[in-house]
Amino acid sequence: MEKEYIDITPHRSIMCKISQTGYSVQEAISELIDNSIDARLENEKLTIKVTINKEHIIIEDTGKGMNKSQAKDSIRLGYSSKKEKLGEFGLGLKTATSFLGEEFVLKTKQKDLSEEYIIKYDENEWLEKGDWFKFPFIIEEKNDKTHGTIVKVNKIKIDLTDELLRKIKEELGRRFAPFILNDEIYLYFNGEKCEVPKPDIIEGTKKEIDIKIGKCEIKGWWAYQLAGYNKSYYGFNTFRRGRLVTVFDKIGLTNNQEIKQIIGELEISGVDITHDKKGWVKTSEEYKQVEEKLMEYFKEYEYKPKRLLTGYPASKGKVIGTVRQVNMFHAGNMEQEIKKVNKGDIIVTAMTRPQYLIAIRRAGGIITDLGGTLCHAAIVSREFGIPAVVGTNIATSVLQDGQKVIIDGGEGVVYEY
Amino acid sequence: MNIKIPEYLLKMPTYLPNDIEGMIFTYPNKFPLIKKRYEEVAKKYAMDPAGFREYGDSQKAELVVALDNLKKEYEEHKDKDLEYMVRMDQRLNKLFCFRFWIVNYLFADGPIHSFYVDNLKLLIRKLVKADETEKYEAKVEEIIQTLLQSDYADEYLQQALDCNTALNELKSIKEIESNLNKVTRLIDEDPMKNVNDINNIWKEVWEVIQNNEVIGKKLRHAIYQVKFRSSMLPLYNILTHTIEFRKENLQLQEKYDNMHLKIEEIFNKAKKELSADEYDLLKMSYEQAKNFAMYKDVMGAVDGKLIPFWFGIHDEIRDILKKSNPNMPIKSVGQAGMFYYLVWYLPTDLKSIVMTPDFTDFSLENL
Ligand SMILES: Nc1ncnc2c1ncn2[C@@H]1O[C@H](COP(=O)(O)OP(=O)(O)OP(=O)(O)O)[C@@H](O)[C@H]1O
Ligand SMILES: [Mg+2]
Repeated sequence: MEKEYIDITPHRSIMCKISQTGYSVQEAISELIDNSIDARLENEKLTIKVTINKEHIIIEDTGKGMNKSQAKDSIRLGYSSKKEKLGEFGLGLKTATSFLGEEFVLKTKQKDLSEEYIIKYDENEWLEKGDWFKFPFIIEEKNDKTHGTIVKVNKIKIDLTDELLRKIKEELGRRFAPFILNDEIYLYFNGEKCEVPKPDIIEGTKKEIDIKIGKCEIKGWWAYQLAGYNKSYYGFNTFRRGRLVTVFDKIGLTNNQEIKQIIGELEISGVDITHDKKGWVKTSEEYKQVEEKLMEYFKEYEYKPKRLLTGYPASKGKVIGTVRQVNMFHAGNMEQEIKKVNKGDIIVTAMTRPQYLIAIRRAGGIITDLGGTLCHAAIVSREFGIPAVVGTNIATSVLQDGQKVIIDGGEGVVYEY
Repeated sequence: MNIKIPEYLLKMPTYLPNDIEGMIFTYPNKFPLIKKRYEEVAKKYAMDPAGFREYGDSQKAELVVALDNLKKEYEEHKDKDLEYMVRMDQRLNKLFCFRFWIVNYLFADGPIHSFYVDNLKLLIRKLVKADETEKYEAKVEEIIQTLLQSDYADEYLQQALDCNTALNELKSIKEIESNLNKVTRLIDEDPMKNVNDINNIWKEVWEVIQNNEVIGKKLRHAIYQVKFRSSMLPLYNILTHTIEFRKENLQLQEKYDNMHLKIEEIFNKAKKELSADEYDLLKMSYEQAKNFAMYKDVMGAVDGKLIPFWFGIHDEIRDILKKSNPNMPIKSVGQAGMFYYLVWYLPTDLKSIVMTPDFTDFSLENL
């Protein structure tokens, strides 16, 4: 037997290869924002500015910055001294930047240090003559009280369309919602503040949830929403330490969610996430426990509302409201009939007439016995943007005054609430 | 142009979706020639938008003249007996059938219209591109709605738009300024709960503005209803609507003003992205869908004259019949009410007037 000792320093190309994890642009940028958030100072609101254009991507923060040894370690693959933070693998900075561009410059400074540390990485140069043992590290004197880190990525590798930029902004707002809502950070995207998108939930259905199981905890809220065009847009935004892990996560839910869908936000602790931070480690015992527990919890809340009627889909949109039977025939008592309709009510009528304009405009939805997609009720509801189902034949005899229903004007169906 | 409408769509339909009066079951039996007349014009105008508009105008012109004649004759006729009234109803039905029903129902609610709307929807689905279902469907829906609404404002929309001008006029009248402020506050607070106070203010306001020309013109539908119903409520309601939906009405105006630009844009895009045949079909579908909807409204404008006159005759007939038929239920019926309600209580000789087919053609002279 013979034993040799061999050199296993990684091949230089590993620096580029690690970025090929199937990131989306949003996810890569989020990695860099994660780092900024991890570096936030206590008692000081952190500002993060993201600037993206065809030339470069800049992530700039007012966090605590790095000291010399931290800065030196930041470029090392797989090294992380973080605990209980968003970062934990020691990879994000490197993978994200090399996914986004061929070159990056990191500058960092702490408040009480009078020097700034600079790291420059150029993919081509590195591949050609990089040395694991001699990476350049620049120290520059800077005598002020500023603090923070700026990462600038140049020679962008991705194709930035306006559509993509819009999407990134929207998603950043969603991803970092807990931090924005908690007032912990200001997040700007190309000069504009990232807004947290408001979920469109059905009034009065929001419930808190707080479940402990073993060393795991699930905390947050859920509510019903009315299904949108894309019927799979339901489920949870799941968070770990306040940072979004998954969107529209169906954990604990069945797909029996056609009209009233469950949405919510769950902060899950005690379950590991994958290295690319894109998901939970589903094979872990903890994940399975959490999933099972949620299944059990949501079982009683998942059901498909009963169909009451179908008709022509006259004007798209889904609404919930209270049925008001309104008689719009010439012989009807207009005064009485108009009085019945409160804002948001669902008008149920044989057919509409122009004299009832004010009631129609107050209505949240319209259901008629008569008419096709081209009848007045259909046209008028489209004009005023009111969901409507027409030509049901039997709405006026089947629906009870005061009953709560769901209208799906795009499909032409009326459901029990 | 390479558009083909399947032959069977040009035939007399056997079902109409908006047919509350069941005319599709009555008219072809009572006036058998209607089938032939409709099928002639269906063939002729199905693909001729300009021709259809001309046809619609000519129909309306005759309808108005004939209606005026009948009304005048009826008013001047002394000793109106039951038979005269029944015959008048039948003449009105004949007029309605040949000069109103074709445009207003057979075209507007019929298979040709559906054909065009279906094609319009299909072609838009081809035109729209988006990478997510949600966005795709929303975009498709938006364009379809734009095209189906077209740049024509129907009576509902027109009423809402007129409220903008009416409101500006109201604001310019010094004498009602404080009342207008007061009523605005009440409406913004709760138009339902405060309805009595609101209507009392409108009553005072109306005293001042009732001779105002702009208001009279812009709120004409409501003012007509006031006369028709002998109640001030239709007017008060539209005045409240003017305030309650002032923001939305301005938005509607803006949307409406931009409508033809938006439509132009859609067609520019369609020209680039659809084949020539598809483009032609889209264009035709849009034109005809718009025409059919528009002429439904144009014809509907005679309602104001037609309905009180005709329904008034029905009421008179009903009251007479009720006397000899105490068990007769009181129903409110529409144009074809003779055929499905009154006829059951008529004396036998008059029953046969109603239930005998009329094989003659329509003409103004012989009506
Ligand atoms: N904006 C920043 N402010 C302060 N320190 C930073 C910043 N960005 C990176 N660092 C430092 O660089 C190190 C490496 O970052 P990197 O994202 O690669 O790893 P990580 O955040 O520790 O783990 P993960 O791979 O899970 O993101 C961090 O641990 C942190 O010390
Ligand atoms: Mg990190």
